[in-house]
Amino acid sequence: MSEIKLIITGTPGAGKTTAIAAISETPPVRTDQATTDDLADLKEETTVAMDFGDLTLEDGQKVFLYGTPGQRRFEFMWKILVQGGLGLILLVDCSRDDPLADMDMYLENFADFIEETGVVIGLTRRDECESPDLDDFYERLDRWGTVFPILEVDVRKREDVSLMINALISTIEFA
Amino acid sequence: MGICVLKTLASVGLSSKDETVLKSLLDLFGTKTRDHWVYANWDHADAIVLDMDNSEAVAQWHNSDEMRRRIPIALSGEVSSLSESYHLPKPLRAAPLISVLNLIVENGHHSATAQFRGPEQGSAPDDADVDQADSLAQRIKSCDARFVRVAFHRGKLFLDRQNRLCATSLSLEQLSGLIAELSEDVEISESESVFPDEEAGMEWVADKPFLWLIGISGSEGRLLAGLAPDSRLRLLRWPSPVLIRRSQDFMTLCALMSRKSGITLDEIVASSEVSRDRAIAFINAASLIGSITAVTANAESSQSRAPSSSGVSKGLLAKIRSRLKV
Repeated sequence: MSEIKLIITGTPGAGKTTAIAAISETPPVRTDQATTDDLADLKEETTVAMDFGDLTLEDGQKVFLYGTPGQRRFEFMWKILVQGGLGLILLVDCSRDDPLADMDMYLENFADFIEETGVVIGLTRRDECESPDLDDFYERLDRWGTVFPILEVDVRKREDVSLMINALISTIEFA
Repeated sequence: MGICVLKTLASVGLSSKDETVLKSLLDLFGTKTRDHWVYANWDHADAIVLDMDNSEAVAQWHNSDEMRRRIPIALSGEVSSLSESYHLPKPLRAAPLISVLNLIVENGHHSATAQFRGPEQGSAPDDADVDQADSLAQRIKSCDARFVRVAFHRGKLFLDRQNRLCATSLSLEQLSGLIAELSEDVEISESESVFPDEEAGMEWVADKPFLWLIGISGSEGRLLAGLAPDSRLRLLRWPSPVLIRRSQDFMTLCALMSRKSGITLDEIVASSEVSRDRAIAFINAASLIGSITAVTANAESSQSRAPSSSGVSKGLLAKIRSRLKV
């Protein structure tokens, strides 16, 4: 039986680890280390390899959730983690300086994987910053010629993480 | 002595206690009404008592063309007046039930469709009748003026089309209930200036949730004017999670309508388990909130991007949904 895995990526601090913790039925395996670079003001620890959680389906099959490290210097890890993945959840932290550029960067880096599978974009920390407007994100997607789901979510809530996964698998099935 | 006709009554969404009470009341008083009423399954019923406080039951009602052909009797804990149409207050009592059943016979209603869509028997259709035949969604879509007032029996809703705002004393759930009460007369008026005093004290809020609900619940299986069944339609953006999270149909429709080439109504029905009426309601709702556009595409590009490239089976995706309880 092949491994079923969903990939969660996004900017550091966007909530990848939190999202996995919210939905995983076992405590997520984490590879966090003390932050030493310019992220130190933002968070004390950051993921350096991957986060890992899982869900068990009714027939015993497992769905694995992999959270990539957020920082671009771990880009080599992204290529490894997506191999054989079912689809991508991209979390964009809207409290950062340029969330639109962040989204662009991840979409470009995962373009091949997205083309083969699908992507859902989750906007996080909207309570801290309501801009850019949702329409601005969709305008940025115009050049992709398709409409990826962009959902405002609170990744601390299980139902919001479930919603993103459902949007992703619906996209994979029907889009 | 008049002829006594056997009529059948069913219920949808009632608690087991209410259903037992309803059956008992019919056993006791069904022969004391103008026609003889007995309890039956809904697919054999002349009328259906629908629990308006049960959102799943209301959704079931909306999704079933067959069910909607029956005469609806709205049962609710919030109904304060029984003077109009077919409403029953909770808890169920014999007198209001007998009164409603007699009223149905008196009005000679045979189907919900005849009750709220068509002109009165014997009257020639005129312009006003044609307007009444439009769905609520169409009537609102047709308004050109900046301000629109939608008056139900038990509440009003004001729209500021220019600023995409809505003011109302009704909650979304109440509005859903009013739209579902198919006999409800709805008066729509429009004006270039604000309706004086009427919306005083009401807060203006984003209109999308209300327009969405009107599209979903008030489309009556008919596409809005300008949206043809063979139009290739595409979403401009996914509706808010608040609007789509309650129904897998909506999620499916969002995904189908995200295709680069757009998709026609017939293609939607052919490639999913979503009913035609449900798809029409979704398209109308998305149109009312400005989230769809028509596109041109050739046959080649209209094919779905096959997910088989990643070896994903529908069965697996269904199991994941089941695990997520969505």
